[in-house]
Amino acid sequence: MSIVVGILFAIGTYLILSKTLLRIILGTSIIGHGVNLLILTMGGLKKGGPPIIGLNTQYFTDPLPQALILTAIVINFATTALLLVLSYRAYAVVGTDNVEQLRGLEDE
Amino acid sequence: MGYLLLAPEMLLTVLGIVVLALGLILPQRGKKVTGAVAMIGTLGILVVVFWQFGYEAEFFQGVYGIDAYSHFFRVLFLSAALIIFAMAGNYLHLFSERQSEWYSLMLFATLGMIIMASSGDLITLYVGMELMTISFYILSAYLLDDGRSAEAGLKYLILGALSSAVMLFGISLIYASSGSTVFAVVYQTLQAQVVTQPVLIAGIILLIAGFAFKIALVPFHMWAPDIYQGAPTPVTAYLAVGSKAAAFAALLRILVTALPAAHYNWTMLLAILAAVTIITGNLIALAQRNVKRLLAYSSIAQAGYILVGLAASNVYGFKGVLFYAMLYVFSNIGAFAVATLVETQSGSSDFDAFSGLAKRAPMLAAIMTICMLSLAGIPPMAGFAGKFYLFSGAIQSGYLWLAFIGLIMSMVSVYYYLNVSRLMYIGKSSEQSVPVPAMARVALLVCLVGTLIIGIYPQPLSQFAEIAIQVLY
Amino acid sequence: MSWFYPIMSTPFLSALLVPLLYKRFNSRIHTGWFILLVPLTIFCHLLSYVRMIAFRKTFNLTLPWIPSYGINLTVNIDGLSFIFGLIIAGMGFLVVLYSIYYMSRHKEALDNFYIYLLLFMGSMLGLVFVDNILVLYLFWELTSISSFLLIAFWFERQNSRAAAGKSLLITIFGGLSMLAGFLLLHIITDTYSIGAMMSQAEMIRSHSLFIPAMILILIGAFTKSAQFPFSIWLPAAMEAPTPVSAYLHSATMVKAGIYLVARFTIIFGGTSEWFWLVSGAGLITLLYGSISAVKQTDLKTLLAYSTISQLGLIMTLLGLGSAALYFDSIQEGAIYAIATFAAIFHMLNHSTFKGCLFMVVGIIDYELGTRDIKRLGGLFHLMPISFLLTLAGSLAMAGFPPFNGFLSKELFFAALLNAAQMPIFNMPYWGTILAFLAWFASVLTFVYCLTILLKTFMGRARGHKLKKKPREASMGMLISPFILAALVIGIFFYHQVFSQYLLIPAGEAVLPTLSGSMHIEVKAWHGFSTELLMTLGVIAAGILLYITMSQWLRIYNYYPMGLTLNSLYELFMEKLEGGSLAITKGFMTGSVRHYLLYILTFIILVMGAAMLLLKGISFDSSQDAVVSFYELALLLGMIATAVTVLLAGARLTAVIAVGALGFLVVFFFVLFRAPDLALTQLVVETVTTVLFLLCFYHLPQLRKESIPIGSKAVNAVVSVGVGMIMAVVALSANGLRSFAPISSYYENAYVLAGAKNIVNAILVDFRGFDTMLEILVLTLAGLGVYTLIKLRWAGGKEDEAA
Repeated sequence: MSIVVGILFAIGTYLILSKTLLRIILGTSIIGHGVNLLILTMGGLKKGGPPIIGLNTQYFTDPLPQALILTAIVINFATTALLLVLSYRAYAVVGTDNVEQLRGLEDE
Repeated sequence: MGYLLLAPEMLLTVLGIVVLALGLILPQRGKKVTGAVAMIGTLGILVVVFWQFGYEAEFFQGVYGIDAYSHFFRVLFLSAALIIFAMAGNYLHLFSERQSEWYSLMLFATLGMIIMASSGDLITLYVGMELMTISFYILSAYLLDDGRSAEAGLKYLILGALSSAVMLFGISLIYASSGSTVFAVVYQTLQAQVVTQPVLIAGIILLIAGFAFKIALVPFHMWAPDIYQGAPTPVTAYLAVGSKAAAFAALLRILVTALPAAHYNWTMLLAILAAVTIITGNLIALAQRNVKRLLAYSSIAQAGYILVGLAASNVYGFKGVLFYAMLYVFSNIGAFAVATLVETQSGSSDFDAFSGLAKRAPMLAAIMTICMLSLAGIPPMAGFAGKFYLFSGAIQSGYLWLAFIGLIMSMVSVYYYLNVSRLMYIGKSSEQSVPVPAMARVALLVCLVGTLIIGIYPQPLSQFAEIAIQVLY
Repeated sequence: MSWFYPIMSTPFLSALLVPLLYKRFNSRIHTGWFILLVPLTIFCHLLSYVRMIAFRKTFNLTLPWIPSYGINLTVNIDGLSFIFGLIIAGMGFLVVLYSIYYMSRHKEALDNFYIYLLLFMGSMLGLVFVDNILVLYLFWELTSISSFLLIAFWFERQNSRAAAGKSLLITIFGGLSMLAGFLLLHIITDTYSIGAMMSQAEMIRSHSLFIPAMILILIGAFTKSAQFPFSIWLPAAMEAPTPVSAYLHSATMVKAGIYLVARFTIIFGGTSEWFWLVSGAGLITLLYGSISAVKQTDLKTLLAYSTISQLGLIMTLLGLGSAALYFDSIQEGAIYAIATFAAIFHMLNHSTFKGCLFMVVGIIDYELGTRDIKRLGGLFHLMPISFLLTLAGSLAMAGFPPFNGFLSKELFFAALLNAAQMPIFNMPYWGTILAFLAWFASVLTFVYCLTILLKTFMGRARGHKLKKKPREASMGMLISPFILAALVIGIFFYHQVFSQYLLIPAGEAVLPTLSGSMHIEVKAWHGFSTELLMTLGVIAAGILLYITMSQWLRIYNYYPMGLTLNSLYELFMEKLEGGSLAITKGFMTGSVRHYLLYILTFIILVMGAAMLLLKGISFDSSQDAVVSFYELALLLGMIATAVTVLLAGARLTAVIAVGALGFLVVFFFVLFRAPDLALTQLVVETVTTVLFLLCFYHLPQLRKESIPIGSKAVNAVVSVGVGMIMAVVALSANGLRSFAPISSYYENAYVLAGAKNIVNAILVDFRGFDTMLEILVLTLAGLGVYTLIKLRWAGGKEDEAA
């Protein structure tokens, strides 16, 4: 499980390091998934019942990480949406989707 | 007072929504009203905060807490927002159609900062921070058809998303080693443990890395110059002052209330970060020929100075952090305000645009000089008192070398700050005068008076900071 | 006594009034006349202390400022601060008087000039009287800043600007170094009061931080007092208006370093380090200054170098005098205390004769429009009064009777001879060399004094080379130098009065251990002693060198230009900026990829180091549930989709693969009993994929990336590193689950919140606040999308218009 998280991180990082905007966005998505899975792992990969009272199971999975993941999913979604729109904007104004060409002003 | 203590947060939310709604309802010409509404509203909330002084309470089992520390930062963020609203007036015609959204986003960013300073739980903190950051993503890209602005937003977003992930990872590691995300509970659990766990330390490192990005500490500073230069100048000012102060506020609270058990582990890391940041920021700022960019690099160095107080991790140092964060509001926004006005008039923030400013606008040049002297830490300006607190804190914790690096680099900073004033006073001047709208005049005056008063009579602010710090222990 | 604070703050307060006065009265009355009252009041007020000072009384007054940090405006009025105070106020009066005639009220921005001057006067007075080192530092920097403003007063000139910048840079650098030294002293003694430090002098001397503190403070003193190699700012500072040069750059500000050294002698003195650092630096400066002065042709620059050399002389004397503290017996100490006495005496004398000379040079410049001695000459007939004033000033500097410089020069030689016989500090080896070098410098001093006097006033008149027709200056302008010249002679004849009321109290303030035993014999004539023979030698050799000057002056041409201090300074500044630029260019490329690489590498290194050092890597999977077939399949599926994204050539494939990955994660959530997560993720994933597809339309096709293999490899290495670290940390975290897995109070969910789904209870109840914020975040994102799309329309419109 942890190894999968590692692989997701590695692939996500590689994508972020590439030049194309779309790849970068995909990379952030993948890293987002990696983080979520990781948090789930932190809660211990136990197979208790779902954290719903009254299900008659002996133990529950830890609800707190789930709440954290929920937060993360939502925020990740917001970020991705923004990133998409913004990269569209940048493409429209600057005329390239190559981040290497986005270099701002050179320092003098 | 109970839940009434949350009134400022609630009011700020409502204000943000009202401003947004007004922008939608009002006709094109009437949109100027939204600015007035935002300012009056913010001022009102500031009054509410003052009225709440002395009260404290905890909410949601320690997830959120209002105390003297929160009050301090509420005052800081709200006054910073207010000054920036006042100074931005004329600049905003650049995006006239979307003024109301601009105010609304600034208000939400302020809300995020306030939440960061008051939250007692890692998740709440994370959400507050995202609230602030997402507002800034949009705000940095706010300039119409300016490729640099869009690019600034995009870069900030890419790097910010990554840093969020890193931070989240850190939070989950801290959770994994302590079983909770509430500061007080984390503290208790860690106290009970005999050995500090490596995983906890990894968590702290990642958490600090996440904050380091917001504060723009070396080597997480790379985004700062591009974004500071590309973003609209009022946004840059708020980004440099507010978002940094918020990150410091949150970091300080975590380190004191949740993680003192792992004391040794973070001070050394912070001290090294501070040293590297101060050195790099100042050395790079030396070569700049654009005032906005110069302020950007120098604000990296300034963050390094504040970090010195954090690394000192004693009452003096922490007090210095708060003190400096407050004076930084006045001095740095003052400098940015002058830059904004000059930029609005001449369309550029290169050194040439500032040449001979003293002849064209003596008051602006004087304010810029005073603010820069304050940033350089020359008495009797406020910056000296602030640096004094920070460095004496570091010395008391035995970080003598750190205080020395700070001092030596202050000497370097004197050089480039004064380069600008020299240019303003003795450079060749064009004949154009710089118009200063009435509101901006008020903002400048506030910055000037703040910088001077804090410098000449630091006692009241120092006491305010001390009361705020005592709460955490 | 209570009048002290109000009177000392008059310079600052009246500086506020200057713009008002200037606006109202400048058309009729020169603003200087009002300003004149300020130094006059201060001078008279100070004089009222003279009797008490003569009886060795000292005063301490305290005004709290930042009491919580022990910072108070405590003033300490003793012999040393008193004599400095008198010089500052007295010279201030004369300079303002002189400036009334020198600075035209029609052409110059007098308001600025007097504001700066008053600012300087106030801070200089503060500097010498305060007892708190931090307040002292404050005033110290204020003098630097006001000096900067005054040097750049004629800011239209390129030279003025460069000079102002240089002086500010060097003195502020020194000031900060001094502050660092002060902080060290504070660490040692735990006080900010100089008085309290003095009583702990023994303890300070045995502390390990003693040497660093001493060196740092000395750097401050040396920069301010233009000691070698920090001296370069002083000649450049001559760009300032002459009243400023006379006031700041010869009489007062440059003496601040002298004051500092004198003040701290009691703490640092009596050690060989202090002795050698102070007198060594002083002696080198003395030589450097006089060697450089001889070749100058600009009168003001010549005077600047001579000031440097005279400051070196005073510094040397202070160093020699500090030896008195080494001895326990008062008799032995008193022998060397002559040097300290001579230092203060010469400081007073220097203020008078150098002030006089500067003012005369100012007159020449004012009347003739030049101060280049190659174009001057024969002014003796045209400006007889100026000639007489110059005569007094320059001969006093040369050490010629009957002028005050003769007395202090004699004492200087006496002190050197005493020191040469000192049994300590290696002096038996070095003493004679020291004395010879000092004597040689005195010869050169004599030579340039003759240059000032003779080249300007004697010889052929060269009126044709001048812009203006030379004539004697107006009376008003001559008053101040005349008073100073009168003092030069007066001090020679009435030296007993001066030493009793001023000099000896000041000397004892420097060396309080010798209190009451300083009986210095100052005599104009004490037989054919060695000192007198040395003076005669100076005169003889000086005249000889002056006559043969044209022959040996060529030696200077052999000195390489590239090695002068000035060019070294410029080289250093250039390299500094260049280096900064190189760093910037190298790291701040503006490329997101580079930024990410730095950040990630840093994280990998720190995390890796932390995990390795703390032996935190542990793999304990015993607590984990057994991996089932489904899970394995899911995991493999995830890896497969992720790899697909990586390799995908078409954007559609990539997007769909990411979508698939999201849905696999949903399955995973189901498998791990997180139904709420699964539902949310499902919704979000769907919307995201739709968004992706929408944006497709606008973004270009994926291209084959043309990254060089090298950076591709770097990317790969960093990515794998990140993945490894994350996996390792995650595995290790799995290994430790030392706490109860469920935060127990959430089990109260049903009781407290009436909810059976704990996650739901957490979201809407226990953490309702967070959830509200989350909604806000989403709103914001929506707002962002909305505004940015609005931009598109605006952009579109413009396109159509164009």
